[in-house]
Amino acid sequence: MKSAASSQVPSAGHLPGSSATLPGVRLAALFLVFAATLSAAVAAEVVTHVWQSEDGLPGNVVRSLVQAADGHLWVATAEGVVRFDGIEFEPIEPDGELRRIRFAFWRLFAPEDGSVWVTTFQGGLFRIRDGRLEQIVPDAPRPRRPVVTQVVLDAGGPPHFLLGEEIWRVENGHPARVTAPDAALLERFADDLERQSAGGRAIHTGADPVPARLHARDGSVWAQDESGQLLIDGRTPVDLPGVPSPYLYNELLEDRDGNVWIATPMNGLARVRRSRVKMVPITHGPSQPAAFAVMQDRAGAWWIANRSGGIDRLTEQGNEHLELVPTGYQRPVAAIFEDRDQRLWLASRSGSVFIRDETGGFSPQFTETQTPSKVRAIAQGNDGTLWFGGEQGLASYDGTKVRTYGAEAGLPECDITVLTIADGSLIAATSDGRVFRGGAEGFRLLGDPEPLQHWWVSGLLAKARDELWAATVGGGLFLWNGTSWRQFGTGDGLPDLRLTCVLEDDRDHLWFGSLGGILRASRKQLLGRATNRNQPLHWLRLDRSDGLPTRECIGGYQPAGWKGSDGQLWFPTSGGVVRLHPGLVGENEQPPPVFLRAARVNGVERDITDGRIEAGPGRTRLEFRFAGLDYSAPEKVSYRARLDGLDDAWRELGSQRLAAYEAVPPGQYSFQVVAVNGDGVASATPLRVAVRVKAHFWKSAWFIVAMTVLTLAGTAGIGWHFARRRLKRRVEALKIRHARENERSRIARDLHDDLGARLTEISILSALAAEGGDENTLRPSLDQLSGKAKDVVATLDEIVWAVNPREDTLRSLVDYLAAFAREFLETAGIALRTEIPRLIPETPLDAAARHGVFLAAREALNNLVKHSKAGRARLAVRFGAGSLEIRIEDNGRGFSQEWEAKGYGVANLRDRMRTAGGECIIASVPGEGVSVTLTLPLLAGPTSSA
Amino acid sequence: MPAKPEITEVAIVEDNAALGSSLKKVVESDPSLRCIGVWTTAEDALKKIDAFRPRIILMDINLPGMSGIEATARLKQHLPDIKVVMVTVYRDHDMIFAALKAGACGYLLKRSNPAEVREAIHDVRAGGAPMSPEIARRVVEAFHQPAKTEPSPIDEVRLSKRETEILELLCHGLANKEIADKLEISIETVRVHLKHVYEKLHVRSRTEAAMKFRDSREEPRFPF
Repeated sequence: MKSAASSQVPSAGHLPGSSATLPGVRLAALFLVFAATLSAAVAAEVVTHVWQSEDGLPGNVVRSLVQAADGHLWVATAEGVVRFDGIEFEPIEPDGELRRIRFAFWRLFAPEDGSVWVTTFQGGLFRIRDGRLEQIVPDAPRPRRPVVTQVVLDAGGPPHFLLGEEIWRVENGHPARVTAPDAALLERFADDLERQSAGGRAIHTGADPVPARLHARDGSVWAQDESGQLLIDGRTPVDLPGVPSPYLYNELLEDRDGNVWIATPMNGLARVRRSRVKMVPITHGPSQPAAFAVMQDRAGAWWIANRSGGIDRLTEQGNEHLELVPTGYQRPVAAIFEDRDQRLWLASRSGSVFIRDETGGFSPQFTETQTPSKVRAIAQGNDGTLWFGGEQGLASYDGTKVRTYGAEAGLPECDITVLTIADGSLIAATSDGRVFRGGAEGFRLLGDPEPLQHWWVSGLLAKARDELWAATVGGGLFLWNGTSWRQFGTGDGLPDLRLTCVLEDDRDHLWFGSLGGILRASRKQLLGRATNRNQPLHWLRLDRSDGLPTRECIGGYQPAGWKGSDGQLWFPTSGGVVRLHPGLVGENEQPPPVFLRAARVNGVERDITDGRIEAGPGRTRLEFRFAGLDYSAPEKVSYRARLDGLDDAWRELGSQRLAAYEAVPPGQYSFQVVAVNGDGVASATPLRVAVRVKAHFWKSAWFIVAMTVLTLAGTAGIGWHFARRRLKRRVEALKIRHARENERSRIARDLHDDLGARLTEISILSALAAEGGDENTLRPSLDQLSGKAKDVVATLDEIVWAVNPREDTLRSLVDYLAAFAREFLETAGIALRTEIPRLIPETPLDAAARHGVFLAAREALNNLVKHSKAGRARLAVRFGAGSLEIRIEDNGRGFSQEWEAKGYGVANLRDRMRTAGGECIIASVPGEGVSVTLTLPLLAGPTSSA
Repeated sequence: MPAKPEITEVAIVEDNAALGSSLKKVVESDPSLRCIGVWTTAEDALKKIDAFRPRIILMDINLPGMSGIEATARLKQHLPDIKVVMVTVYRDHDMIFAALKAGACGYLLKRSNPAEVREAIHDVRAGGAPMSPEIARRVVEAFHQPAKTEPSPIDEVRLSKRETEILELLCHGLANKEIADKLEISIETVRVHLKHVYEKLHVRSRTEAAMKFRDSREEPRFPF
């Protein structure tokens, strides 16, 4: 270990010396890679993540770690024991009296039977069961007793543990000393000790504790060197972000996915993962890491276009930074190309084209005509003609003459972004989604460009005459099959539509840079999917959890991705250049187990230990919280769920760990949820929860049966027949109803996200415009526009509220109504007093009733503003015996005559309330005001069991 | 710095780019405010906020990935001096209240007039804490929890008599000015009280979280 570290020192001293021996090279800056880069390259092989107290860990003093048989990770800290699911920490507390005692937790144990045990520094032992700590051996008073160092299962028998030198057995929750252990048991203890010691635990033998070391399943050994630095195989240092090395650690643990976890005594909990993507180390001046384009020349050197200008040349010896022009404004390079004579062509962004001359400097080309310039892409035809595409369209150069191609050659108004050669002809794609094929004789549009719409084409990959792949920024991937374009988008599982390039590897996979990470799909699967929508298509997405410095690859420059001669793929990103080895990108094939965390019925938490839930009577809101375990990339776990019996289709929930069902009718259901890890592997079996929603007694099966029996006695079975038919019809209707609710959710979301945001924008912009320039003749119209836009947004707000099933509660109605009334009356200059009870029952309220009552109340408020001439108003809400009462009163002039009452919309209000299932009473004393009372009978609320 | 009017730096976290830039225009229409960034995700914003240190942040509640509420909670933990105003399209009082518990000190509807937006920012800058009746009702509810058998630190975070009075009046729809008149105090005093209510709310929600680990808090650190 030490030799590896020290061997870098002489080379560090040597290399800068050699840089001075490179004469005659016009370099603005030259930096060679030395020891620092070498270690940075190695360090980039692992991705680390640290959890500390602000992330939910009870404290940063982590003592012990264990993965239980069910897959959960358990963490013992000085502040308590927690269960960790990759995202959330769930604290475990001792029971009853013990809560008052402070325990100093030391180690965790997880035998094969799925139980979890924790020991204390004072010799105590606890078993963790159902989220509680059960004391088996109490802490010993001072002087300190030996500690429990092992928990082992006997063959099929009770758990045994080692306390100091003594073996004990746990029987019915009480310890019993084993005085004469048999050989088999002793062997088990010996095996366990070996496993613990190889598995990353410090084993205390004698006075000197042996530091923890880990023998991982891939054969690597994790241990510290003399300086205390944690190294993999004595070579690769494991640095933690924000933690100075060397740091102390208590334990190491390898989980089932192959991640290594570090329990540190000061810096929290850390996860170390082999990165699937590596950073390309580039050390040079003050420039930014962002790279625009990357290419390897035939001599093996890599060329990297830098965002801050100039170009980096990277070879095994190191990297040098070259500038295109010796002085003046350094433009970044937008296109790199090596022609067949191994001449390097560079195009600066919105500037000139350069060629690298024999001296290694760069000379500008086409300086007299400045055509071609502002180039984005360069290609070379089979006849040697060079093609330049860019903002000015397309131009060719045969070594002597430049020719431009415009509308007359079939290329009207083209801003060319990509060029590629296929079958001897040139394919050119534009920033507005047109793809052309042709050559010196002219160009033709490839098919109907309609599907590509106006998308910026960022990459082309031609495999055959009838297989051309086009990556676009925003429109996803397109395939030209010789006759038409086929789009691959969100519906095909494409994780991000903003693609920046397309590459292929040696394993028939297509790789894409995107603004959402690096993506991969099998070409065979893509082709299969193109002809049959039901064919499977699996996407792999690499992002920061895999070692990328950022998710955003950079596109719009060429080449925006490159396959090296060794098969590695290089991508420019806003955080530097990254590379990956397609063959070594392992997939996480562990199906993530999924667990139920909580279930709520009408907002009240239910016991879930037996995996079944009883709810009702009557329509019920069900809510399930769950968690899938994948410790490699927990933030990438997604979920899909269904309530079997209600909807047969699986609902995609994304990373949301919650599924809610509104107004579930009485019946038997099975709630099922599946977790899918970041690499697309789903849980082996879905989590199932049996749900029974009881009917109201007069709707329950036994009641119907009892009635039926009675009816049978009277009318010989006819009644039974009818009851059955009605029941069936009702279940049908409820199914449709539920589908409608899903649809309502979607509409609400769409309105909110899309229309709402745009209208709000219009309202803000018009209001701003109306403010500026006071003598503007447009001002009155702008004022009007701004007011109208605001009204429309408010109306939309109301529609979204009315439509969204999440708002199907009494509380929502009261809140919304009160807020609406205040805003409405404020603009009318009427002061409002509200009287609203503090506690509003958690009663579900269906959309029709909710909206009906709101409309009636709005009508009443409207009349109040229009007719009452009142200065003050009062809104009172009351909950009586099974009913809601809303009273709107004013101190205005009131009415006495029948015809005046009409103005108050009496008939209208009554109608609205009747459709909502309620009533409306309007009373008035002339000169003293009007009082409108709306009453609505409520369903029996859930019996809140507090 | 001395002669010029002080410029307040404002940052916007909004996932809809067009809305973000409209809001930016609103902020910049006020000469005493400067918008130093519009960020589209909470993750991005948390990083940038640390670097730019704006005084006030307009935070969208619904953000992709980490929500505005969580971002506020994390932000308040590390940079408690930065003031966060939640921005929302629709009046979802539960979400707004959650954000306020997490440490935000006000909220705005996106459809507010530019003048209202500017006023809200000035209000917050001056240390004010606007509160609507719907929110006041939830605040009262949050503090009105059933008494526990054992005394806990959370019970120490209680509303004073005056604060309760002001909240009750707010629940009935009285404006700050009316409350001030009714209680015969100045409108500034009402504001100060409301600010304290906010602070207590933050402390309370933090204490609630911290209490889970109460039992082992004073654990001596053992040798590593």
